[in-house]
Amino acid sequence: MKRRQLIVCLAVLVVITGSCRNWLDELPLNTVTEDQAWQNGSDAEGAVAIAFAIFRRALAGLTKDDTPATTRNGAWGDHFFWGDARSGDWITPNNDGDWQASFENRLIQRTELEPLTNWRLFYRTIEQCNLALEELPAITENFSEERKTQLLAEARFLRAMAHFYAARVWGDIPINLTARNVEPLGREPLDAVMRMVVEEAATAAEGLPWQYEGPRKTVMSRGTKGAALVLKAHAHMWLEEYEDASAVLQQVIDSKVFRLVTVDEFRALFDTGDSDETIFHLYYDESKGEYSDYYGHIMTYYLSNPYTPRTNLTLAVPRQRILQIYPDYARDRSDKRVAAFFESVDFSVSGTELRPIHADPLQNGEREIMFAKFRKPKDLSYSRMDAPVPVFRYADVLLLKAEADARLNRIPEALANLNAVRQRAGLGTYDRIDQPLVIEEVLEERRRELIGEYYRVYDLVRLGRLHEFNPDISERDERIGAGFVPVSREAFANNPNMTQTEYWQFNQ
Amino acid sequence: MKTVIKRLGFFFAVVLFPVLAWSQELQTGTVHDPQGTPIAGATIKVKGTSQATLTDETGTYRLRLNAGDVLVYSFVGYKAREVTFNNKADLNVRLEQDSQLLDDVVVVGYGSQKKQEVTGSVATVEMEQLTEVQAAESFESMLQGRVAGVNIQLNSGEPGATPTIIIRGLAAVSRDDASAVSEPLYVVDGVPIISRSSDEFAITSTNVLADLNPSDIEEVVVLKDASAAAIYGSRAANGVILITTRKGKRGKPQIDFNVRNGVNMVPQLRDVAGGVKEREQVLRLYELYAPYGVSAPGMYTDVTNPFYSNSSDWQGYLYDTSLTQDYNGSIRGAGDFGQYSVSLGYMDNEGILFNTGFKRYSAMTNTSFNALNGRLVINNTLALSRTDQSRTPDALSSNFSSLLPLPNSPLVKGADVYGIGYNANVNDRIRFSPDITLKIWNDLTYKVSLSLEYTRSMQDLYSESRRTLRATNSSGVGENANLLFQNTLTYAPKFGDDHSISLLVGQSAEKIESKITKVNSVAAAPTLSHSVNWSGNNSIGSSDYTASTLLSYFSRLDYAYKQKYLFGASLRADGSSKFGQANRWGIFPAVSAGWNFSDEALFAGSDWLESGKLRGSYGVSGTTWDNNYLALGVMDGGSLDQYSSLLEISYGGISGFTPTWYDGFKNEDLTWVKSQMANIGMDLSLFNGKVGFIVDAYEKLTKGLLLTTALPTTSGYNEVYRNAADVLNRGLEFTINTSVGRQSGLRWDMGLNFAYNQNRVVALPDGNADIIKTSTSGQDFGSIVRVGTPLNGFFFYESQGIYQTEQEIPVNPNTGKRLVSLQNKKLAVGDRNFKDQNGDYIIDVQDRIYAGDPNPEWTGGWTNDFTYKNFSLSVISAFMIGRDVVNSDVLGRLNLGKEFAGSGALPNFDNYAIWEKSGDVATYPTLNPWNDASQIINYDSEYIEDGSYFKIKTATLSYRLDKKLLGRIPIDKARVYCTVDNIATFSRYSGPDAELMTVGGFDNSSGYPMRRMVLFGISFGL
Repeated sequence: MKRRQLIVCLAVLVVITGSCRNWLDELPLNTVTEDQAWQNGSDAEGAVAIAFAIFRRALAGLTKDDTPATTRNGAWGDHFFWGDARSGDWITPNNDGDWQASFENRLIQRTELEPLTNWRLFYRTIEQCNLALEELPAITENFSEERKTQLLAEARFLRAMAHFYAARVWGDIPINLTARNVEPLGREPLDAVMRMVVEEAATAAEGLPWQYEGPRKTVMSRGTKGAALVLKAHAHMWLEEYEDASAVLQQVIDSKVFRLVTVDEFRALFDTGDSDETIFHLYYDESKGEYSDYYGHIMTYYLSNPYTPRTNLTLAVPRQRILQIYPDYARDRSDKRVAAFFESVDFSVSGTELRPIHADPLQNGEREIMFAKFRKPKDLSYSRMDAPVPVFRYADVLLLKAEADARLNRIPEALANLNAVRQRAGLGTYDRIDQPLVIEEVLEERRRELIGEYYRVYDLVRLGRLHEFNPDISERDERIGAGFVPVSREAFANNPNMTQTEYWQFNQ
Repeated sequence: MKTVIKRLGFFFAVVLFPVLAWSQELQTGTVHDPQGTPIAGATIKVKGTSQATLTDETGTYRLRLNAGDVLVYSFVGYKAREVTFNNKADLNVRLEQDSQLLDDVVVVGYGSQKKQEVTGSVATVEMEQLTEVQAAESFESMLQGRVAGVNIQLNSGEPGATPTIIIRGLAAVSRDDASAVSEPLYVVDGVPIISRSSDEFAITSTNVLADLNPSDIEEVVVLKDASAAAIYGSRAANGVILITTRKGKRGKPQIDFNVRNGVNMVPQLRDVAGGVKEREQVLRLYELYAPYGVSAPGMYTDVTNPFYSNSSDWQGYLYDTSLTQDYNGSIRGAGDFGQYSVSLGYMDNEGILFNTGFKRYSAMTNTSFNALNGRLVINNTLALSRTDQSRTPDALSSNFSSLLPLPNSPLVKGADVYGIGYNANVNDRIRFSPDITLKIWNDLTYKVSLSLEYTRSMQDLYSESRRTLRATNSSGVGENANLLFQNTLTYAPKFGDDHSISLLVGQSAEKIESKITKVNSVAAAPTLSHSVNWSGNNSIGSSDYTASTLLSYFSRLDYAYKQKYLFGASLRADGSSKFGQANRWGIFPAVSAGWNFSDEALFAGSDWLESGKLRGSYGVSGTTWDNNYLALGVMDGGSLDQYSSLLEISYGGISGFTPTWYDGFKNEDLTWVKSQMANIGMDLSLFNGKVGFIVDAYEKLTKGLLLTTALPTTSGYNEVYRNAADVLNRGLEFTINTSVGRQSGLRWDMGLNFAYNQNRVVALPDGNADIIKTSTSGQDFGSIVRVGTPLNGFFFYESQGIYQTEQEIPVNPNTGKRLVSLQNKKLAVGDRNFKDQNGDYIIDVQDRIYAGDPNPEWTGGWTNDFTYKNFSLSVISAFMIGRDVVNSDVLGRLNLGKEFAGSGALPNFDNYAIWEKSGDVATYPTLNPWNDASQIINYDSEYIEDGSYFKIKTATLSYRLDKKLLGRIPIDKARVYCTVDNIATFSRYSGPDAELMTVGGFDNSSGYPMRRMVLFGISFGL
């Protein structure tokens, strides 16, 4: 009897134990774990898309949500700081100290500028791509081989893109091509980074189509063959491999996927990016919920009433400088781009109403011309800022090829592309054939065409000529890295291999 | 025929009974306890017969007896006594208390043990003694100063706040600036309960344990060392607190009431510069430091405006004497059928600050049924409780400028302009735990228990800004559910008198779920509504869910030889869902031994030594962490940004997951935090128990405390969690209890306990590299975890005084540049002179040095109970010695920003040595509000103070009304008393109260001092 009772008790214990086999498997309900995150095709789509989203935020600038080392509440549009602020063309009419400091290349002293020295979000983009490149090959569920090839190529493209963009900003940067790499990486020479970008972009281009199905705006916000090739060409330019750059760019031209749109079509190009001229931009669309408000978009600082509630201008190109950059306009008002890029607001009207825009874009005074290349609806609010952040477009391709060809002394080819862009702007053809003059003219045309699109400083730094245009940077300074942004203090944490750019070691 | 038999029976009964009775006489006797109090309900049996009776309320019984009958007197808790009846005197008996039965059984993990056979470091506190002489919201606060090595700090004056409990030294560290507390495990009647919510799932800040009514608790047992606690395995590393609730006792039903009412009085408040003084101070600062073109706001210069010519005593207005009420009632009883206990409680503790307070409603029933001749016991516990904490919506602020009129001023009459709103925090708990115990045969007992526990906390907050007229409205619900299923088998055979052995095997499965739902809205116009309006752009709601499971197998073996040589061992295996497959199971063993040396022949006949025991133990226990999915590598789907945009969530309409960059990636290597503890101790009881002495020495090595280490930015990740820090706590504990005097006359019972603890980080990864914690406050720098220093150690900038002249500011001879201070501050005369430790002419994080230890060296308590006849006086004190603290309260008030004027009250600068001009001998540097960087910072070695204190916490004077006084009132016992709480504090600390400190040593008073309370109470039993 007693023995039987004992057996029953033990049996109960055994049954309980047996039924507990899955007791210890607890998984979250409102998110996924790493093991669950790479199951099927839609996981793969999401993983690659979100890498682009991180890159979009990287260009806008990191905030205190991204790292506690910074105190900045929202992104400022750091792509402008890196790509345009120091070109010497910009002023801050409302005397904003932080912007003024950035024009003068004082990038370390001000706490508020510290976030733009921090590359964390670039490496987060890179890590997300690394994870995708590592995990995607094993996914089979609802995932066609064709799509897999494309997504892998896109991840590879974006990884190279992030390295390329960071290298233009910081110069020598660490290269990270493996997932979960927590080794303290040192900085690699700029040439080595660009060499890697060339190879990776070439590999990516092989797996990418020229176009996907869908609206241009969406298609060109992702990695395509065109974007990868232009990236490769840009890297060649940094490596001074003009022959290669020219050849690659010719491929893009020959594809006939892209064209120069007319000036009348500029609003679609700059305000929405839904244009045949777009090659790679970062996607914003208010209707999809992907928009910026006060923080996070450079338009906050470019625009004022009637577009936003701002009554004065934070960023502008002074009137005299506009006339200097666009000499044709100064002479006979022929350059249509001035009217497309600049506006004069009637400041006499009360700031609580929608101020009218003068017919003459340069009617206002020296410090009162609004840079209105990118626009939003006129509604006196900061909401619905959804102009894309441009990275590559066709005019850039033509002018870059013109520069490469000019440097290779293929003047006719260079002039053909240069004149295509000039023609669109309503300018006469340029016909000087003196190589240095052509090179100079192409550079000036790039300045005119691409103003405020984050090219100018990179062009000047690539050529070592930033000091010619920025009075706060000397030739000697530029030689030791003054053209590049300093490396943030956070990058030195737990990384004994990190080094500061030479110039910034002595110019705290 | 039937009627005939009945009638015959009646006949015999009538005729014969008196005949039989005649030979026996009806005798009357009494039963008393040793103090002479009558014992009601004692059983008296006549040996060898079935005759038996019970005593009545006066201890009297009646029996028919023959000379030579042997009477057996018995009563629960007393030694049974046999008396042979010869004459009347034999019938008045005194029963001796059975110490073996009452005092000497100690509740331990999954069972109980004879005190004599306990080999671990275990402390027992009888709660009834405490509730008689102390009044507190929660039982933990009452334990303060009661148990050596249990450091309890009531570190907030706010009603409903959570005290911190640290057993045997701090062994927890948080990843950010906040100071973590190593929480013990709380077990009520054998069931681990929800004692807190993890930070992400906490809605209210109310003390989760405050819903346990202290009056419902019989005793609290603290398992301090590993041998006692390790049977609770993975959650026992910080000690285990076992709570036994009160049950019914044999005898007649006990009905008890306890009513107390009293007032909370406002102690000394912050010093404030009022009226003219504030105006003078502000204008003086403007005069001294304001940059060109900046002038003082109109409220300071416009002396003719009556609106600003006040000297409002905001604290006097917002703080007021308040009331405390506490009512408890219970009915309890027991018999052969089982036992029952039903209790109700209501407490209302109003805060001394406007709009604050704490209420508790509690109900608990506990019933047991005996079946199968007592072989089967079915026990049910149902406990319901609600706590209701109200807080001020604007974070306890009473810090308004004294120039502004008070709300009761005619100037603002009718306009309720300050601090409109409410902040209601309601916690509910329901706990149902049935268990069944079956004695399979004599030595073998099987127990199965099930427990369902559910807590819900709700916060409704509404606040309106008088400046912007914007209203914030938020509402949140947090839920926790705990399911436990537990089986144990106990085998305790007897092999003769010399050996006693007990073997326990068991299994338990537990699931803990947490859920949180929050909504809030910011409305541009006030909407006086309790509901949150879901309005377009500015309302954001969120919800989260987490769950963890635990599966455990455990066993314990206890063996005693002649009750002299004792041996114990336990082993527990815990599997937790929090870990990856590889590290899922943790093994937690413990061994212990004891020697009751007083039973040796050597001490035979010794009249001074009553008992003496040596104990030793070693064991391993563990802890885990809050984040249930940490080791699994939780992915992040992003969240809406501040403008409700999807920028972080999707790209081109496609959303996806990224790693959570702050928690690192999937980490199968994360494992249990394991704590190895060795303990040796001695218990002595001298002079018939008049003097008790307990000493313990321990060493607790907590290995692998979870910390994040920063990863290089190039990895993409900010931080990764690791089992990083090893912390060693070493300590000594002393407890002395004395009892002087006689039961009937003046008696003095004294309890003194004190404990020393030393806390050190002993190992860190990457070659013991410092871990600099993430700073959540932005500008400040996170604290440092460094080998050889204690957890939460102060890493401060070394103050060398104040720069009195320009020449004192160092200049780098190589560059000609002056020393740059914190936040790139260009130094000026009057600024703090920090030592540039590394000589790079920049004061930054690298220049911090180890400057102090906020962990107390000595903690303890001293209790004195005096009894004379029906009077008793009890005085309870607690102390802490050897602790460094920072008066961050005053620093925060002196840290003035550009917008300081009019934004709040100012301290009276006359009371502080503030630098104003060269030559001033000052503690505080210049208060220049327009300084590039404020010169008043918490991390300044100048401000480290001694945080030692001695507090007379509570005194209670009570008078016991005896039966004679009560006369005919049908009350058995009654007691009237007066309790005074928070009587006096002795400390050198410059701030409001040396106890109102965070674990990390910073002032936690936030303007809410600890009230002084006077209570009058009466308790009576029917």
